[in-house]
Amino acid sequence: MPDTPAYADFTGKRSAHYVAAPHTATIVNLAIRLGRPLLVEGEAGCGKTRLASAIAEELGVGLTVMTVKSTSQAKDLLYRFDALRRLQDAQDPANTSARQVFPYIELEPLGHAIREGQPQVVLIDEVDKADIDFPNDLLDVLDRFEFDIEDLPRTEDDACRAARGHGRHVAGPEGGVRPIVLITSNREKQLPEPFLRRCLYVQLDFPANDPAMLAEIVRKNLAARAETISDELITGAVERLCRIRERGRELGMQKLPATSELVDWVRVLHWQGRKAEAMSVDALDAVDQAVLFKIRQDIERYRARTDAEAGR
Amino acid sequence: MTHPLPPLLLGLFRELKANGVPVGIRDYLDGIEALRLGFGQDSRAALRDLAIALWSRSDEERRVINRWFDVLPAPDDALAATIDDQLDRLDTTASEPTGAPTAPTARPTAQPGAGTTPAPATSLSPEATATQAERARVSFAAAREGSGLPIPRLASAPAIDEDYVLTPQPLVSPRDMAVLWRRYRRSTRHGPRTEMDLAATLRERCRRGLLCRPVCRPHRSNSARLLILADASPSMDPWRPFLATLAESLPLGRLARAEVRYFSNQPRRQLYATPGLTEPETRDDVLRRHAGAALLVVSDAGSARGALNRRRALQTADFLNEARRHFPATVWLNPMPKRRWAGTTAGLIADGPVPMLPVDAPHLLRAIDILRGNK
Repeated sequence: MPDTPAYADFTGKRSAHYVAAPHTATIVNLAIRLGRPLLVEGEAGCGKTRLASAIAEELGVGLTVMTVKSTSQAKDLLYRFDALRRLQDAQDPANTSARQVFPYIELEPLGHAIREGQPQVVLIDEVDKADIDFPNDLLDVLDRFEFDIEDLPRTEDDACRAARGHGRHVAGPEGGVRPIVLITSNREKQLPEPFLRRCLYVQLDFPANDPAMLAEIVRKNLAARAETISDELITGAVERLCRIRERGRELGMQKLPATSELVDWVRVLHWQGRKAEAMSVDALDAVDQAVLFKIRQDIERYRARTDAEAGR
Repeated sequence: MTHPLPPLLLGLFRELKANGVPVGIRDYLDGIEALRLGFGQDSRAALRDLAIALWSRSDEERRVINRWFDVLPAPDDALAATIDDQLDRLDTTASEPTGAPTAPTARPTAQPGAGTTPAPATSLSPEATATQAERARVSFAAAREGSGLPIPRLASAPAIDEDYVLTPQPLVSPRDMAVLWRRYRRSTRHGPRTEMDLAATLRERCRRGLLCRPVCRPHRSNSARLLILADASPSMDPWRPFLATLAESLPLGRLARAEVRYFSNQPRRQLYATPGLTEPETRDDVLRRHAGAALLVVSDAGSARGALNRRRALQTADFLNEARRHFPATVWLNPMPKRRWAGTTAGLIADGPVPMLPVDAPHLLRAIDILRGNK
């Protein structure tokens, strides 16, 4: 354990466009200090993915993003073996490079991050989209931050090291720094227990009972886009969004509007030149609905409710 | 060497272990390390947050930790004040806080008061006990001897600040079920030729001296097919979540073709596409469509009710006889405990050629094994 920590403390407030709750910042720091991956869960639109860029921005380190697809395999994050190009090259008898495997192996972002051992943030986005075996395959890599290139024959270990600087076994340099690993999940699939045990866990909630923080989030997001919006509009929109969420929860909506919807809504209100007083929770027009709600049933339920109340 | 966990967290750690939370040595060491680094030192709430971040991965585990902290006796203010005083003096005299690792670890030790492992029930203050006495907890007891369905009962011990804690534990999680389905494999090469056949390509290359194009072969894929017939009658209500798990996990199982059809009490002329018994289809059509697949029947076969209905028993036997003509492997899963089968249709079926298994992890594994053809 080095005496001087490789990473500064994350406060969650210094990023230009992101505000993290103090509780979240503490857990992020804990994950950094303990060298454990951090699993981030929470409602869609609450800034799971952007937490990673905020950490990278605040700590002044690089960010590597890997978005997981349904066909992703753990290996794809580490390296790629271009077998097709090798086959093509092998057609040419004069081409000697095809006799070896290592020229056709490229490290992928996570592989690079492990080999470099530089301070940086690695984001594995939407880990639950992949197959259920995917997290299990990643376990060992995230635990030890080293891996083997299984497609590379052992006989080419030295040749590869000479040419590429890494052998069949890839690990960080002596005294290197572990990257900060963030993993986001939407809980579409259950994650395996051993995987959950390896990670620290943080749940990002919509800060419904902290309007000041919400206003701050909106302000930061819009400031980054160089838009100046009056404070009344922001506080008015925040207050109304909280009420819409409350009502949505009563109605059992599937997808409640969250932070990203709030930011979009404030921008829309600003473009339309509407005033905070003119907004009513009961009379959302088509544009508002389009911005705030994402599922048809939700819109219909909300409309039915407001109609019923207006008729009463 | 590192210092051990302070008694407060050690007690919590033991509590978690006792509750079956799989925390390990690494979690223990991380706890020590986190305390050493100064996390969770500010207040008891901070310590709780630390414990939750480190050791809990589900709501249930979070609740265990919260409960643990809730029943801790309130720290003695006078004692806490003197300790704070002492610590402040320590901080001012020792210029390097990292040089004195005893200071941070001593603090959470001292806070709970006398550093003893707290005894929850006895150490409550009187007013706290009074408010809790009004509360009661309803919990679903497990199916006991002689009782069929789980019955709600009032727990004798009042809950701590949490009323009506009902935490249904699934028989099998969808994930585990999907893993089980994947064991049911029949790997064959089928479909368009998309995968390069290396051996054949090399042979071709040697034969002609020049490679025109790689030789391809079809991908290896799972050709296992499965039909699940699930009982959606009221007697199966306690296992509705299990049926939902079956249906939910099936698409993850990578089977060539898999379908769930529902029936009520026994498979009659019609089978239904939904657990609400809508969208009917004739039984013969379904069986013909899935001929050659494996058949999994999930039903209590009258054992929840607990008496033999002769007519139903005969019809069920007829159905199984017919099914054996279409399906090479059939397994019957009966979620009722095995001792309740005797004297019902279930008992008759279990004695017959179709294997009937209870629903638990080892038997589910066995069921998949039988479906694969290992009788």
